[in-house]
Amino acid sequence: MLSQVSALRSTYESERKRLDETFLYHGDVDRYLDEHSDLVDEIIRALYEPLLGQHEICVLATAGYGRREQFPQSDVDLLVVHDFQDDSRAEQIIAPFLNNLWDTRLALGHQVWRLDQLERLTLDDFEFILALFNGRVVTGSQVMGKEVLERILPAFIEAHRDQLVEQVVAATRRRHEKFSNTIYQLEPDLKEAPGGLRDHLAASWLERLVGSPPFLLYSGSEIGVAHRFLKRLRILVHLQNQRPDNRLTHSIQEQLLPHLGYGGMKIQAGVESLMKEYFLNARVISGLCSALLRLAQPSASERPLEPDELPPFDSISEVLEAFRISLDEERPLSPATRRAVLKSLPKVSESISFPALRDPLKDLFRPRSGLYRVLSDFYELGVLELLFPEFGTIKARVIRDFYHKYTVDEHTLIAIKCIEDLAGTQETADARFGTILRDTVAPCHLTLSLLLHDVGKSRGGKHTDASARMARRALRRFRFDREEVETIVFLIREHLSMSAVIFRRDIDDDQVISRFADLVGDPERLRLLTLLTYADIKAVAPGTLNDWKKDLLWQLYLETYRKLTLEYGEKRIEEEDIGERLVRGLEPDLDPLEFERFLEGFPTRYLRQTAAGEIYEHFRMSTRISPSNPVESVLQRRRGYYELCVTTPDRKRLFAKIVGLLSYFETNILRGFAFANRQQTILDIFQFSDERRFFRQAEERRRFRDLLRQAVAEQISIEQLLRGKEESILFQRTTPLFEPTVYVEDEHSDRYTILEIIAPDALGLLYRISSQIASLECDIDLALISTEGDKAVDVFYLRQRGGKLSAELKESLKDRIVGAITQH
Amino acid sequence: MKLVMAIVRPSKSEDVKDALAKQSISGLTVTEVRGHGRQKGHTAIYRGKEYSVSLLPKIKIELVVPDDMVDDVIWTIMQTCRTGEIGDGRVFVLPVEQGYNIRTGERDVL
Repeated sequence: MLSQVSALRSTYESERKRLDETFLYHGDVDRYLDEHSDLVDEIIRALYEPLLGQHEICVLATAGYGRREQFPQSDVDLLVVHDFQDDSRAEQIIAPFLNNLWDTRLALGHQVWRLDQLERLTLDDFEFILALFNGRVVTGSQVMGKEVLERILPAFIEAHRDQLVEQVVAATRRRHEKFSNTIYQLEPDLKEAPGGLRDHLAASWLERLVGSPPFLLYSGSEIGVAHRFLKRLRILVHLQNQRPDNRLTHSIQEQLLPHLGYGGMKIQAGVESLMKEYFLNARVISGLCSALLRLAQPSASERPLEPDELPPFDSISEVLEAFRISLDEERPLSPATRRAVLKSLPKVSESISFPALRDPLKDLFRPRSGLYRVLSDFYELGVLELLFPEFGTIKARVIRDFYHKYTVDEHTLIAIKCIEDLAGTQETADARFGTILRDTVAPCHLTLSLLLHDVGKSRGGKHTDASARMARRALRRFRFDREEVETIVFLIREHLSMSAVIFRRDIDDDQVISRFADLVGDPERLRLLTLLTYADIKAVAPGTLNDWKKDLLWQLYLETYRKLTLEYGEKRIEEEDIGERLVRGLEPDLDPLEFERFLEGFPTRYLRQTAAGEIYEHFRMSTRISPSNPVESVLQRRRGYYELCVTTPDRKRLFAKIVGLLSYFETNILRGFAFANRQQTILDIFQFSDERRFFRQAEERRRFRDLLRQAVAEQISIEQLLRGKEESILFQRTTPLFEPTVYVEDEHSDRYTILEIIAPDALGLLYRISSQIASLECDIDLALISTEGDKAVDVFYLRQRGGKLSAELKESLKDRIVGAITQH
Repeated sequence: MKLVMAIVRPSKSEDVKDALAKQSISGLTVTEVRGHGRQKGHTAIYRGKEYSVSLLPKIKIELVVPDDMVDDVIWTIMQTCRTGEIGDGRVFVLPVEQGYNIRTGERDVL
């Protein structure tokens, strides 16, 4: 027997060598696994005949060996079935067979069962039962084999189907948990990781237990290709490692390049391509497994929207609407909807009117619970790439730097999820960023910039610039407003700037903060950039954005916010600040000297934040002022809001009058600026939304202009106008949503006393505040007004008789303002 | 052998690493830490409310060097990190009794 074992060992070794070499040459996965299984079968049969041949015994192959997928370093899983009633007798007969098999150097994993014991299988034998799912007789009693595979196992499955399903689902979810529930692993385990071979296996078990899923994104042949790719990798990893290690480590990734067609590439590019191929295939297997997990155990929240078949969609707008409903109802798309989307795409993609999709898209991208899920579906079904082909360029793109855990596309979607999570987070270190999110005026600008912030990684050169260029093209396709395009492009171009300041500049240095504030320009952009930075770092890998980094980011946010608000008015325009180009651009009928005089004294940020065309328009308005025309105003409708510009020589209570009138028309003031130049010409700019649609009517617009003229000329009382509304039950808020904050301070400015107010927004609030300021004879040189959600955040730069406010005056102002806010 | 431990501003950590690399010192440990010395945090004003930043983010750099290099290393760290403002950080030097390389099992002879 010894010589036979030794001969078998030699045969196995030489045949294995031949198989391995042939595989490295032709790469035929199925042939290798098949022939390797045959080889092991032959050895088992060769030993069975002399040692067990005369007994009623059956040798079955189970698990991977049973499936004829015998990998180079895998265990040979065997089940030996006998019908000896005496266990010691069974051991005496079977042990020499197993020992000799061991001596052939096969890595044996065996179980020995008496046939009648198999009748008493329980769920404790869960893994053994799953291994039997793929059982086949290698040699011995065919009758016994048939009994096990065709009677005992099916009967057990029939009796315990639900429990088996439950256990397979639980085991799969536990395994996924170990890998943080993501296929994106820097050094994936080809067998165990999500999207790996065991996911394919779990899917096949579940399919046997519960049937096929009603919707599968991938075809059978796509699944077959992905499965074969993973098996090929596993064979290569085993051959390279010469041990049963399934991890595609960094060094193995490099070593495998020549075997996978990437031999001619530089190592970095080769590994990125290999890993891209891996992730694309792992996505397919993961998609298959997820579909079966959902089918096997749908959770209550996963109840889809419609049960049956749907006709194809007629337009892309209808497709978007389906996604919006899925998002608003917090329920996934049904298999029927998915099928309908897939079926409709070729037709609807022929005639897409991108501009018509702008507003639905903005609504869809509003951060809220479920956004990540819906965008993932959006991407998976091909809609995202249809609307943003730019995003398709980073599909499964790998950045190999031992730092980025996810592919670029997944990193992007996870970054959007980080924003979605912020809305509901309770963690103190994150809750403060949640408050910033709630304060943003247009949070869809944030998610849209996140979507496109890395698309330039598919191009060479600096990816921030490339992404910004690609984003500009994408947004123009949808005809986004110029201002929106500029904001989103700015965020994308600068998406690394905040990290650069935090980690490479001294944020205790006032100049560093000033320069950064100049770059950002206004509080809304600061909020968006802070959140973009937060999400971008957090989505690199779990734990990358630790509390330490959050503190630094928050500190930079605070310091910059202070610069943009409390120190906004410190720098005033001087002659040398006005660029020649700006003066040269003046139309011939406008006087350059007058123009410079008009600008001198406004905050320098006015120049930076206002387009040249608008500056000229403001100046032109000021030239039209005369004793017979003391107020010049322009009301313009923009997309989604109105803008009112008023210019006039300094007038008592002017600011209060305008905001009072805007309140009377029930507008919601989104942003407001009030500037005074050296000659005390006032320029007030208000952006407001007209939710009651008064301004849609030409008659109302005329009435507004008339009232404004009369108010400035003191011909009517705004207070009286407002009283009617304020006393109406419609506008009375019984309890404030939060305690208002009124903060008066002198520290941040050499010339002004700064009044900062954060209060629940209410009808006429700004009018009451500004009236109090006026009643104390304080001059408003600069006002920064913003409405953030239901919060009014107003900053006023005040002086009285050319100087700062006295201590008593400050106290009295504070008391009056608090009174004005709470009186209502 | 001495352990040189420096607490520096986060913005200076890369500069210190580069400067030490020029002295052929490549082995060092960098940790993100929080704390305060004389720069006992500060109070920021945000939305009219005081926001206390009591423990400031800093970087701790640790490296073990032969006795004869200690002064050069300290000089390099101080030269790189000194702005003259409160919060520049601290450098400490501690004696090291023994060191071992876990992979090779060898005892360090520095």
